Amino acid sequence: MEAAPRLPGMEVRPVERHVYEVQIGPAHPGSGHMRIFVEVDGDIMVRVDPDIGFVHRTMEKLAEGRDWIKNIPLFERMAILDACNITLPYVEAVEKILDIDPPPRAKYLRTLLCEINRIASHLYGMGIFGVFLGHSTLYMWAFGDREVFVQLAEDLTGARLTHSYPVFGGVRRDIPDDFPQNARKAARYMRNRLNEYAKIFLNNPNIRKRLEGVGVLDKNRATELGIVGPNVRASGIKYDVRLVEPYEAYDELDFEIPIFEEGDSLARAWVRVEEIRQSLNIIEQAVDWLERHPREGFMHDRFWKNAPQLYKDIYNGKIDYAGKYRVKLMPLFASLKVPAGKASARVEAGRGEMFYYVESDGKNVPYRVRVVSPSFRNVIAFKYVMPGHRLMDLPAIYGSFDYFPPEWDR
Amino acid sequence: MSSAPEKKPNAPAPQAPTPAPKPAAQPAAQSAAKQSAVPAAPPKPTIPPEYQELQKKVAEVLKGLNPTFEPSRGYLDVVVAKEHLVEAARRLKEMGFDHVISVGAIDYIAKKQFKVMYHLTSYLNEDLSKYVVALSTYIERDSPHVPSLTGIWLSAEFHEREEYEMFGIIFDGHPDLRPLLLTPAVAALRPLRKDFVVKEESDDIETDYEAYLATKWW
Repeated sequence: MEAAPRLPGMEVRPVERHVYEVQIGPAHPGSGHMRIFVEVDGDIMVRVDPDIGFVHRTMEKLAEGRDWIKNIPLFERMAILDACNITLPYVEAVEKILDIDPPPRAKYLRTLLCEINRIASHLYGMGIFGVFLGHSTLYMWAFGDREVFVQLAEDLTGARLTHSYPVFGGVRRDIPDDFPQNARKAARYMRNRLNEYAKIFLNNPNIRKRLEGVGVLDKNRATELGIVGPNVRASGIKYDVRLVEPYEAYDELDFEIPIFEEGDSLARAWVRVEEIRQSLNIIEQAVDWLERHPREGFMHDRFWKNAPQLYKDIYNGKIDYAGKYRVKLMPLFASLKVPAGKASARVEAGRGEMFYYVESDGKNVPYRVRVVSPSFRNVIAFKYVMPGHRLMDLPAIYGSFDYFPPEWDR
Repeated sequence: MSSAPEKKPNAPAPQAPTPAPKPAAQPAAQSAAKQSAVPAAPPKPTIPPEYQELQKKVAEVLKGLNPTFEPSRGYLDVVVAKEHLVEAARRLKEMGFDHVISVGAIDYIAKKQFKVMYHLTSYLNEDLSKYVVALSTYIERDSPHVPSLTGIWLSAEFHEREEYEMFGIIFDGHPDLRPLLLTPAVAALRPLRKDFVVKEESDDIETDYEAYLATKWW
């Protein structure tokens, strides 16, 4: 058996004649910690074993010991740049058990933040994807443009990343007065930028050479593996929770679900760009709706009744909205007990379908919360899609699935 | 943008938030808000209305396996006996439920039972996409064995590995049953079982690298 070659930053071990094992990670040059064991024959990957769990934070266990409301800030630590989408199904599931339905304005506000988050999440993913392929320009552009949407989210919620915006029965606050014009400006800006992204990245011959025909997942294989989100829509499957089981305000909005047939890494990148375009449309529609309708009812009456007077004054415009007072949580949340029951909910998060199963036995903490994040369902693809490709294709496939370790480790 | 105005205005006045069932005449005192939580809404132990049609179909497909339907919200909970799990899974897959969203387990420590749930939906059959069906079964807590369904739904592979390490449930016939997220020393504690108590933070969780390496290929 030959001596193992030395590679910078990787540990290599001979397995059998001509087959070596390369460990990629856990300190990853991209973002977040995960390790992949790859057995290579020459530079063809013959066996891939994703070894995850380096940022596992025991969320399901922690959730069983915390008040219902305190779980929202916990769960959004899974994917802070997609915080609204990640916590929304938990909120919806608890609302189902409580048997309350948020008012329409709250639904639109949630939808608005979901789409802002989706764009921010896609831009983040594309930036990482770019730097994986040695394309630093896209990295800089995407992260710079993401700032626009992070700023919008801050205007809306008061926090850049961990918004904790959707709460049981509604949302935490209404839009500020100058929000609609900023949102429209951002949408205009981003539409132009997307064309430039296509020029410098997606239609760039260098990048296309790396991505086209790499990591191909056909329709049946994607179904079998249960891949989610933009990745499955790049394989020609018409599945989007916003479409199949509309939640919040999505059944009243007008948008398209981009679907590509190729199923390769390039298609997965294109789906994200097209989704950003659709999200911009949704943001504009939601903002139009919010402007047309009076500012009332962003919280369900059951919780609103006990709100402090200051809260109501701010909300009715008697006190300046963005003044020195901050909107806090409803008093009832602190002692919320959820009746016994079980519910599940799913939404389409930035990276795919986010699923929660919530069971209550009538106490002030959940009995069981099962969290399934989109990246956790995508990670199986590494094991089954990568073998047969060259080692050089690993970052192209890895990045194209929009991996996010904190999310799949939970 | 141009398409927005033609949308129904969705007049807020008529369907403004209807006050939910009134919390039985609470004294308006501050203390009431403090200690009383939202009064339990009248429990509705039913199958969700949008699922009733599907329930008939599923009952038809699973005829002979004695499926029972537990009340739930947002999905259809189908419980079969452990012996019938594989057969039920095969029939549901033929019916069109082609992938697994989640494999979850719950520890009912008082009843000495685990419940294992396979939440399913469909990609290729667009009529079924809007439904989530949970195929579930109860198993003994003392001998937690359940047949693996990875052979039927490959998408269950990593989920079953996770439930194995968190609960110690053995999925018989799983091709590659190793801990996924945890180290073996932590997985041996069965952290998601209800009798595992979370200790205060300390740095000396023992890490047994020998055992850890034994789970790898070499």
